[in-house]
Amino acid sequence: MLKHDRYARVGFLFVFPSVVFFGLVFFYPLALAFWNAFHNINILQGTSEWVGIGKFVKVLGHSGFQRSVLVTCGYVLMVVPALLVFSLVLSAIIVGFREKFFGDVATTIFFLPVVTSLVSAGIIWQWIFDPTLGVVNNVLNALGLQDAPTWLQSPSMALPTVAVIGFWVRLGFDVVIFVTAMNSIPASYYEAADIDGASALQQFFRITLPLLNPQIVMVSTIEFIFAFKAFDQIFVTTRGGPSGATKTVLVFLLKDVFNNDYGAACAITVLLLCFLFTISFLQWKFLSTKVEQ
Amino acid sequence: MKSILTFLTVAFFSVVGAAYAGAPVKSTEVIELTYWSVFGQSPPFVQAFGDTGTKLLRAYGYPNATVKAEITNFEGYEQKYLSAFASGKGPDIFVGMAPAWAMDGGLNPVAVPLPDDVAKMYDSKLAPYTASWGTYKGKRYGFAVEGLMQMLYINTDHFKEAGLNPDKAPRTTEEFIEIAKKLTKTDGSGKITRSGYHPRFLGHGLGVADKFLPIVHIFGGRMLSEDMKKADGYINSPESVAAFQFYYDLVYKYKVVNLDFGMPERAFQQGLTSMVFREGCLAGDTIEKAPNVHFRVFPYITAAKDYAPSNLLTWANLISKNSKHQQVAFDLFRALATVEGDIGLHKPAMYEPVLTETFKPTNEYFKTLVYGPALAESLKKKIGPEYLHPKLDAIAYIVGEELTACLKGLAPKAAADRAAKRIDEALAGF
Repeated sequence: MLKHDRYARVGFLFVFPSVVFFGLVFFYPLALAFWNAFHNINILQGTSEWVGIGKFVKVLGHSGFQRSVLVTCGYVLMVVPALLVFSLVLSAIIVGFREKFFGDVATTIFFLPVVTSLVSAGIIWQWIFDPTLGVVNNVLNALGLQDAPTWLQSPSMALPTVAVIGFWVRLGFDVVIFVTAMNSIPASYYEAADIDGASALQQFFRITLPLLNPQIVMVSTIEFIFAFKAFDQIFVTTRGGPSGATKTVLVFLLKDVFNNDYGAACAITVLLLCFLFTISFLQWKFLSTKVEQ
Repeated sequence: MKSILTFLTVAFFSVVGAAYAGAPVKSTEVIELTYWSVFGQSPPFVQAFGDTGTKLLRAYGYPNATVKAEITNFEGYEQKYLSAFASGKGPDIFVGMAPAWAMDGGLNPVAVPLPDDVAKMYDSKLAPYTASWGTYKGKRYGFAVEGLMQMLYINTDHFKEAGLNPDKAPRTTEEFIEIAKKLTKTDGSGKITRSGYHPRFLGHGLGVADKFLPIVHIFGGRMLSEDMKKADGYINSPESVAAFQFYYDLVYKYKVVNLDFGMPERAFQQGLTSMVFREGCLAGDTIEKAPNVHFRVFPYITAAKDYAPSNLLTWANLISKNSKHQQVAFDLFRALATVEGDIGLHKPAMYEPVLTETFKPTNEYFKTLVYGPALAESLKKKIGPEYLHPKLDAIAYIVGEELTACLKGLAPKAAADRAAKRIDEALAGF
């Protein structure tokens, strides 16, 4: 008992710096955001006035917010399913390499964008998609396509284009997760399937996918959260434009609300947090139960 | 009698001595005033505030004072300012619009009103066109950063090539369209390789609106009502819609614009467009970055109204309430209210001065400006509507976004109606 207490105290000392750090940079601002969301705030004068759910009502009824939610949903729908499918396929191909070296090289290449600064990546992609000077349109022109899209400058193409950038940024992370998970599946399962005459496709759908369920749930949850919070690459490449076509919730918060109504900005943050928490919980609840059972 | 003579002699030499020694020393303390500017497109212009400010402040009685000029990225500058000021920090002096930052009624009260003598000094010295900048609800918080006035830039080589006289720029919208059509070049497939004119439709919505509203004004429209409480019936009035239609037609009916060319300044400097509207700042920038582009500057075009373009963005130098050196900053403003200060602030980047003394065509600096004659002619006209509104950023941003939508194919009336609805929503909330 005494030994246990001593271990507990030492353990607490080890985690104490992290607790303090997270408390200061995460929980305190979070609590403050919750508090501010129910107040009319003047951050310069340090005054606040209780307004109840007034800010939430205002935010939810605002056409700009509603539009930004639609834009965000569009972005999520373009990025998350594509990420799941492509990362699974790529992972299966990488795991299938006979030489481990090639697999490692491929994984590293796919992972590189994850460790690249999103701001730098955004600027580079901005140039790649430039209508007159960009690589993409010059290649398309060389191939004979004269009316190539204006990508980031077109209200109809800007969202799919930033989705491509978001996809590129996140793909490597998912590939690493799936490759690791696939490598941990015992080879005996596949050997038994081979003996039973199962094709590669059948093995993938009957063995690999079910056993990857925990990772699929995790990746889909993480990617949903990342996509819903997409900001850096969008802000750098389009700043929410053209004509609000890529103004996601976070871009809307920063550009339209932050310096006009701080309380409303906090209300958006709270709404976003609650929404993502609920979705994550539901994903975990409904997608993971079958595997755990 | 002898003592009176002695006193008078001492007094005389003291006065003469003081006059020759320069201004009395006010403080020998080491002081650093920080200045934040959003004019990142011209670092020499921002640095000029630091250099001229330091020089004049030292001559004003602060031998150890320095003014440190820093650029704040225009994109997201409001958030950076707000975060800095809210934490009790931020610069001593900053570039902003008074209605947004004025202590008395501003959206985010940070800028302190100038002392009476400084306010009166600027009231009497500022060129009438820039006089309202830096003021809000009758109080003066600062003075205009530069005398921004949009004018028409033409590429003279393109004019000659098209058989047009570069001394004769278009004066009306009809002439503008005709000349733009003659200047436009296409390739075999019909794709525009050189725009007759190129509008601003990319980047920050505020900048887009700033460049578009003069068009709205010359068509007789307005962004907001006179009392600035309503947009419906103004930005979507028949006159304003005509302005949207004018821009729309330039792209889709007359086909004199290639939207792929991006920002108008860059297109002009690359020779991709023959005409653009811009303030005097483009002249110095083009001479430096594109010396092969030969150009001339003319006053803005006219339509139903013959307005000189008012400036949407009334950028002014303001002083923060958080500054520990407010009195020094006030003294700096006193020192800058001189021709020497005005020229020192604007000459390095060839920008428009702001004081009447330097803003007039007879002034030596004014004579050196490429756009001087066009500016002088513009100033003879009535200035278009101004909007000194605390939420100008948010409101004008919407106009910019809807203009972009219009140029990308949305019907002009629909774009104007959407702008009106969104602005009224912003006026009521955020």
